[in-house]
Amino acid sequence: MAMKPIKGETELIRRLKNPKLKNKAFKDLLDVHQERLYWYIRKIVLTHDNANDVLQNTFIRVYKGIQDFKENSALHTWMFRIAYNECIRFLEKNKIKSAFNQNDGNSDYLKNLTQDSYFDGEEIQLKLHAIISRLSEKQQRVFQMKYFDDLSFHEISEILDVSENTLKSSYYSAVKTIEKEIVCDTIQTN
Amino acid sequence: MAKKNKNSKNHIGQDGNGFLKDNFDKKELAQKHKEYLGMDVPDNYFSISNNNILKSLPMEKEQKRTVFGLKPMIAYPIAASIVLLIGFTIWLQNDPTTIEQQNANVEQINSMDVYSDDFLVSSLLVEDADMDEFIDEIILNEIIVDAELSEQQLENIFINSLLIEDSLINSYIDKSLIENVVL
Repeated sequence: MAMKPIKGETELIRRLKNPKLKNKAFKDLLDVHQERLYWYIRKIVLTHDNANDVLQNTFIRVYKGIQDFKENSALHTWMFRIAYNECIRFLEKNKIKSAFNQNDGNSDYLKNLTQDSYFDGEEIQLKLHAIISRLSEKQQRVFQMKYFDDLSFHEISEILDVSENTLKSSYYSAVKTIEKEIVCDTIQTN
Repeated sequence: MAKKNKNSKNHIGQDGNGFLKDNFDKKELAQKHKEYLGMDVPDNYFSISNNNILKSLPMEKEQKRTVFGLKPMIAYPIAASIVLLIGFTIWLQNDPTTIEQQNANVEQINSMDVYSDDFLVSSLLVEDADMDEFIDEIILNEIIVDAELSEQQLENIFINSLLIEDSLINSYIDKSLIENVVL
């Protein structure tokens, strides 16, 4: 299945690779992709301040690396891959447990989340976070990218370098788990 | 800090199964993350962040113009070679010995031109009498003499052949006569 390119992406890449047009083109790139990448990063590093740092590093890497972009994938999937790698690098550097690494319980995850001054959730949002944090790393990644970032399985496959069938299986498994837990929680509340 | 969205509970909690249906696909990303994950951002965050990112970029300086885009390490030796070449050419052109030699060559060429011109013109202006004389000489010396010589050769060959035939006949007659007589 062919990647669905964002309108004008080819032209944007051409401008980004032209030294004379690069800076202006990069501003356009920011306008288009900044918000989407921010939310993708935010779900991994959880706090706004960390997401802000990682977002900045991601765009600096994109700016420096655009000449080496081979165009084997869409520009935005290439940027998502850089963002993911940047998140992992940031978490390892700061010795922070990622949203994907909560095998010993989700207390750290929720603690990090609630300490963030820009977390505005109530009990129900915290419950959802708690449920998501209990999923396997792969399930969390696929679920968040598919459900919240509106990425297609093909795009996720390119970003994570995992087959589409595996991703679909992980996603539907994650959805079933979340639904089941929400239903249980609703019954218990009632 | 942004205010809490009091309606968020309704969106999520109305129906457990409804949460996972695509009922908010068209909603803005920020709203979606706020409602379902409780994640918020400062006011005007994205425009401020946009500027901050642009400021933090290692802006590429305009590259210095170089000769044919070559690096100085390569361009300077090439430029020096060209200067030397041009200088040497100019020096050779202004060298007195070279000029003299060149003048001599020019004169020689000019004289050759004159000679060749004369030769060509004179060849066009040959007198008829000279031409007749030339043709007579050729006819007498070469054509007629050659013809005579070849005629003489033919006669010799003819005479020789006659002599040979006579002798053969004679010998035959002698032999046969003797035989006839004896027998």
